[in-house]
Amino acid sequence: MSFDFSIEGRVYPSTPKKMSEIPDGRQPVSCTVKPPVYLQIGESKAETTQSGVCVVDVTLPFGKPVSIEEITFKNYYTAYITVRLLRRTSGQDGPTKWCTALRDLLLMDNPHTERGSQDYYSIHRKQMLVEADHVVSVRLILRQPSCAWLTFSLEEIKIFPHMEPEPNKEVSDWLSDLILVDQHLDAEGLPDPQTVSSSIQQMWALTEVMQTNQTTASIGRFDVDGCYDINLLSLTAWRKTPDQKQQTQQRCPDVPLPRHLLQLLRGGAQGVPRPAKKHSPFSVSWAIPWASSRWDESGTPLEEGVQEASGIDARATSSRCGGAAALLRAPPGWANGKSG
Amino acid sequence: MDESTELSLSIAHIAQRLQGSHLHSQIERQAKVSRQLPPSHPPAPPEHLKEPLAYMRKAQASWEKRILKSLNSMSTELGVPLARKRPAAEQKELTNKWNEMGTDEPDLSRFRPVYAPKDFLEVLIGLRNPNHDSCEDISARSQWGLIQVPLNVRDIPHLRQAYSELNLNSGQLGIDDHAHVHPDLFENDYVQIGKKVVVEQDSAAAQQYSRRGCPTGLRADLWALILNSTNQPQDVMHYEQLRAGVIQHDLLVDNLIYKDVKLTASNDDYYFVFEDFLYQVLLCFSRDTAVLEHFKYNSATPPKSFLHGKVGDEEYAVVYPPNGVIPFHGFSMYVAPLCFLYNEPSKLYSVFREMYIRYFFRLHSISSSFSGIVSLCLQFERLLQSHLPQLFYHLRQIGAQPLRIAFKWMVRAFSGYLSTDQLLLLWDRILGYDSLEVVAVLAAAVFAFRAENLMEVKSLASAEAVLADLSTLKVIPLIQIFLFATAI
Repeated sequence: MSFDFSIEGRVYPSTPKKMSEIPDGRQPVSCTVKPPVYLQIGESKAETTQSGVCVVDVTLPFGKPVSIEEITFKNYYTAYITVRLLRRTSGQDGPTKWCTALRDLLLMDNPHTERGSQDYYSIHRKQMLVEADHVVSVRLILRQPSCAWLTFSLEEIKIFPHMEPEPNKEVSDWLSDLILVDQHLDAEGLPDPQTVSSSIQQMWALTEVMQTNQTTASIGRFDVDGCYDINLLSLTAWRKTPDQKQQTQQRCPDVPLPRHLLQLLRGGAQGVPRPAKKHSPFSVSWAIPWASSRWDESGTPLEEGVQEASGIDARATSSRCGGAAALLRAPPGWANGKSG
Repeated sequence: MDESTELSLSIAHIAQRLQGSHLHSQIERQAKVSRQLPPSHPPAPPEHLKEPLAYMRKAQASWEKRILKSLNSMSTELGVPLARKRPAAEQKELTNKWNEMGTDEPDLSRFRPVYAPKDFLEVLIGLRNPNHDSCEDISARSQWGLIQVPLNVRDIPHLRQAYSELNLNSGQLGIDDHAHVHPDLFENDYVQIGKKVVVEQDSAAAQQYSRRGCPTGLRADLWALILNSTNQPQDVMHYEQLRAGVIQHDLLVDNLIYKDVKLTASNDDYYFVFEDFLYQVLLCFSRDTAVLEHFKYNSATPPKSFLHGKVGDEEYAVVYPPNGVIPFHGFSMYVAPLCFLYNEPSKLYSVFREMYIRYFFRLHSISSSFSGIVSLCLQFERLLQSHLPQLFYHLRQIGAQPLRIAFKWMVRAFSGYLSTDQLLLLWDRILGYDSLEVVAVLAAAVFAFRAENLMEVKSLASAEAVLADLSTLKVIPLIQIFLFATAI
């Protein structure tokens, strides 16, 4: 049993699928998730120290024990999870007993770092050490050994009930039937299999193409009925709140413009003269008021005996005046360019 | 024999013949994969697929908002609409000068780049995890660097495992093809293998091959193979379509692209000859709605707008620019090196688009991805902290945080900083390992290489001067020595 578990006992992070789709239309069991209880050593005197263990109880509807198919949740900085089940052993009125269905399952690769910290997880009954039948209550024991996080818990806990498996062998039956049938077959009067197979391949490829191109991208049109006249970008991105749209039209960027930046921006127009017609970064100011006028390279006076740079990196060696003065004069670092 | 039996007979027959064919093995493989899938479970919501960490999503959203606001205000201030249809005469003119757009000198002085890498760095420095306990940070190592988010990054032992092909014992292009090494020792055989890979048209083999570098003559083919950009007739058609889109509509971002090319590539000794190519590719790129697909896995969200006068009407909602990507200062440097490889615009275009939607978008969006810029920054800082602690401490003390110098290299994947042959050797590895991690490793290796000089400097400016010219560096030896010859 334990060997089985070591193979099966994996949590599969939710894989990308078609997003709107709810797999086979299942509904989670309506259950009550109690607030998490953080365990403390000794007397619990207001949260002085961080707890590393947390217990979340999930009670299932009274009098209706559930067979669990899977438990899904969204992690929030829990490193390990243990699942305990309170099961009714026999019939409706039998005694109940706690048992451990899963012990210290790893949710975060490294408890100190982010990976897995906010992922969706799903624990299937196959991964559990015991049969998750006739469950009255579920207890989730969460551990977070790292003190890097202020808190940890689970969100969106859902429990899906186990359905009796339907005979689900259609595909394999179909295949084995085929193999049986074709033993006493003769090939006469049938189309050339080579041709058929190649045309199937073609069709298959076509359907693949169709599938991948199902978005508007395949048409590639960005205009609507030939029109693509745009005056303003919507700041409320993809949320459908058309009302807010009007407001954005009047509002100016509310980013304050520090005075010294303004100075820098203005100063940017002066600088080392550039050959006519060339577009010089020296004449550039920034679209965003908060954008640095220092460009992405900052000025580097020649102090340390760096050789005269050629071409590509010369921009950084080119402002000849040091420090703040250079900054005020111009966004430095671009003097070189093509200037002779 | 009734019809249904006949049908099943034919199917059976086909199935029999299919066995042993290529298609059969493909189907079989697919079936195996689907059977091994975990029992179906509810899918994660789309925003989680874009970026699992909520605070990262939030940071990205507010950064986007700032960009949109500034674009809006630029449009209003200058009285230039974000998009408009070109009058017929203008369309004709543009068609005629399509191949020499560089000769045109429009007045761009009023247009300003939306943001530069430096501004983006400030945003990354400000990133915080609200659930991260920062009260004891004063003593913690995280405080030493600029990036404060606790992402997973690999240290050297892990990198050695991941990048085992770069070890000291295996031949590398960029090292073992040097003039004083006899070509029979490594290069000749290696090139032969490369030719074989190209003949076989095996994408996976090409990727594996690229880990040790692509020979100059084969690089264009190998990269196209890795990226599956085959330049089929439909690709050429698609490109023509995009061209038509450029000719029909005039966008404000076009001016940003013009400006950026003028400011970067045209000012660069290696790339200025490609100016016309760059316009063509970048303008077409901005019209390509196929690029929108990548927003499924990119933490960024394309800006949205409504067509003139139809505010709020979802039917008239459009993405702006059509590809959803607002170019920033230096964007054209993602295309420029590719111009050395492909001289056919449609081919150049499809390779660039693929490079962008696989790698480059990660360099300017806030995400927790391994290849994301935040991880690269953190990895760079961690590598320096753990392997050159004295240097890191020294630079920090004089106010020259290493990341402030290295950020601009990383955000462009070193394009425009290295000599082109070296840059292409570096990008070979990006494609080969399907990851941008190597960019952070190289940045750290450059610091290690100049460590002695850097220990002498007294200010940020002089530290930058030491690291100003990278065009003489040989990148592969640097990476190799840093990864495999550093004591750990």
